[in-house]
Amino acid sequence: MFGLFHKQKDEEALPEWYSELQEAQERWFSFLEKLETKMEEFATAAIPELKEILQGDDDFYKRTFHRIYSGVNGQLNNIREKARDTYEEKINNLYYNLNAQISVLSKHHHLLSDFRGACSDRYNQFENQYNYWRKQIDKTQERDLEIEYQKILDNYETTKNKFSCTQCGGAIAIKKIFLIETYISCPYCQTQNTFAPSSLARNLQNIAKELAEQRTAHLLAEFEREKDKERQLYHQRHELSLSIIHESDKRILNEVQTKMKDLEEQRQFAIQNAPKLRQIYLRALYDEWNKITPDLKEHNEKMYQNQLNY
Amino acid sequence: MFKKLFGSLTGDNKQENQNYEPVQTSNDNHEDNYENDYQEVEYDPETLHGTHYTVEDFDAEVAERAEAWIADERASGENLEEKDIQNIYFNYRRAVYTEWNNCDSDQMIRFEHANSLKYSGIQTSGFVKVDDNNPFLEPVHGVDLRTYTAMCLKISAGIDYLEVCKAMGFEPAIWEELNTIWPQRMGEDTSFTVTTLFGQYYAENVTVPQLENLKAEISEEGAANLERIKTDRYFYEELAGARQAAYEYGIDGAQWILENFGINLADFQSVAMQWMTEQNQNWNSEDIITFSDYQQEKQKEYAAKFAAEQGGNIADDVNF
Amino acid sequence: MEEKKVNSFLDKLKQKAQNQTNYGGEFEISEAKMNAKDCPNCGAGRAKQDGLTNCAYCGFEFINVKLTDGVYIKKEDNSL
Repeated sequence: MFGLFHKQKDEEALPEWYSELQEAQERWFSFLEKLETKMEEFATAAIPELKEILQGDDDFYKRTFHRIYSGVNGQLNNIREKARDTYEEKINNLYYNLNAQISVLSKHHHLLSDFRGACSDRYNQFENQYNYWRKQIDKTQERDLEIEYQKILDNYETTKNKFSCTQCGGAIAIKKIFLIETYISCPYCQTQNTFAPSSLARNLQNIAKELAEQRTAHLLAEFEREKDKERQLYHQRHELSLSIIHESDKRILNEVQTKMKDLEEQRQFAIQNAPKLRQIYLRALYDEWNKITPDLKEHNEKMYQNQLNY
Repeated sequence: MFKKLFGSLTGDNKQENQNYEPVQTSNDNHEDNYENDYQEVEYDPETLHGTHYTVEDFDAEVAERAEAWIADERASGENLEEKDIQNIYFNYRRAVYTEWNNCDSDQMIRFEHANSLKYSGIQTSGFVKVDDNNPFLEPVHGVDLRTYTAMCLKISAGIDYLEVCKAMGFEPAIWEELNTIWPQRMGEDTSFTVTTLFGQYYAENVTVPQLENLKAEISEEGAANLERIKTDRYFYEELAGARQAAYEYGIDGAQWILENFGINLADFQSVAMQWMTEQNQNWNSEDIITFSDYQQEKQKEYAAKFAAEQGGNIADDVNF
Repeated sequence: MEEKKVNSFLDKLKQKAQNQTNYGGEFEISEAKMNAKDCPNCGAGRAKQDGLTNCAYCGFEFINVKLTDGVYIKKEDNSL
């Protein structure tokens, strides 16, 4: 891990500040390793708990779950800030102090920049770990909305024929899932009744978009894959172009250039195709959404147009 | 940080110094402050353009430079998208404004805020411009956005929505329609006029005659604290930091503020919007940094308290 | 030992979250309900053809705003 230090040992007389650097770097590496262990321990303990709490939270808005979720993220954040503050205080400060004293022309200056490079690479590695755990914790919020949707449908089916007019007692069938309170007139005596949907039915509006997203996630993934292709193909082509800089063999040159041309064609195709896939995804998303809450179709279609132009 | 971002655009270090003026909080002082600093340039109060040129000249100059650049890019085979073109215009607008008015980055940002609808199609809080015939602002069931906001304020202050409906003289079904359609319009309106205007009314803590007699319960201490966060920006920042820290320790910040300072969510958010609007109107990067640092510092203090209550943070024993 | 610290922190966090009052109080889960409102002034029922806003018999105002086209309520629901 600290190979770069050993290599230097052969050189004559290393400056006396070098040991200070060496120590700081060793401490920094082991400090981050300890933080990473903590983070992993904490996240692996918290994730199953969070899932269980979400299942058992009777509150309609799952507020207990959200408080704990937010507290778990708070600890992760606390660890991250600890790393950031320490980097500032112990690594950056040391670097700037020494950098102010040591000329860039000094033959030892590279020790300083190597130190900084190694520490910041290690820091990035830690940040990646943080992002990984953060994502895993985010995932605990995911629920299978099909189950909740089915509950809403069942609730509607079992209650839709159970209502009667408060005035004449005639049966009033509820023809669809109403999202909010409204007036329904009695088919016999024409009296205006007010119908207040159940909490479950009201919640349909809140889960509709996410449910539609769950149902069309594969199309989103397809679009994103196509979008990423542009960069990938660009880099592949770029690498090929570098590989022939010193190539003089005409046959090889030709071969590589044909490959490059092919990659460029693929890239151009991806550029054209990605927006089409996006549109396919968006259309499917809104179609699903409209199926779930047909009463919001007019509004949703406006949102679709906006998103299309965005 | 802001200076690093924008400093290079001004290209004049002397101008930067005015960022170090003592902190000013009231509107009036601010006006005086930058008018004194820029005696050579007079600004139109509406557009914040310098009065020594016309808006048409300005727009023409920006267009000329931007189009020249765009032509250049295209000539060298670049495929420019609408987004890129907007960016090019945006940058030249900044450059020309700064050049022609010889101003600092704060003044430039105030100018951008004042003209955001014109140049980017998006409203900025504190500078909302409303067209009389905006279909998004048509009343819903006879209830305009201002009245709708007043109802929202009462409800999030803790008053039962049934009470609010009764005072308004309509049945709950109407409220439910309002509370569906107004948020829908906020989503549909790409200029954000509905949203920013809602925020502005919220900041003003608007009320309508029908609702004046509905008062959320507030303790004497709560009333005093509320008054204080309205007038003392530092105290507001302290509570905002505390609230954030609370959430990080699994505590509902809104409830915590209510229990400990007697301020309800509606009042707190209203004051938050008020400070944000003020900040937009009197953009001053030095102040912004000062307040944001202060909030962070307070957040840390409160976080330490909350942590202590829970036996410390899990990584407290990890040392460098 | 490490395990213990992590678990005790989580336990405390859970306990604290569970014991808190929710802002805005508890949410009551309700079933669907049908209701009707007779005119509080003259006792007459409200009929579809008479619109929603006023009592067809005595003119009592049920709703004091002018209805527009909304989600379920339409401008035709205004009483004449």
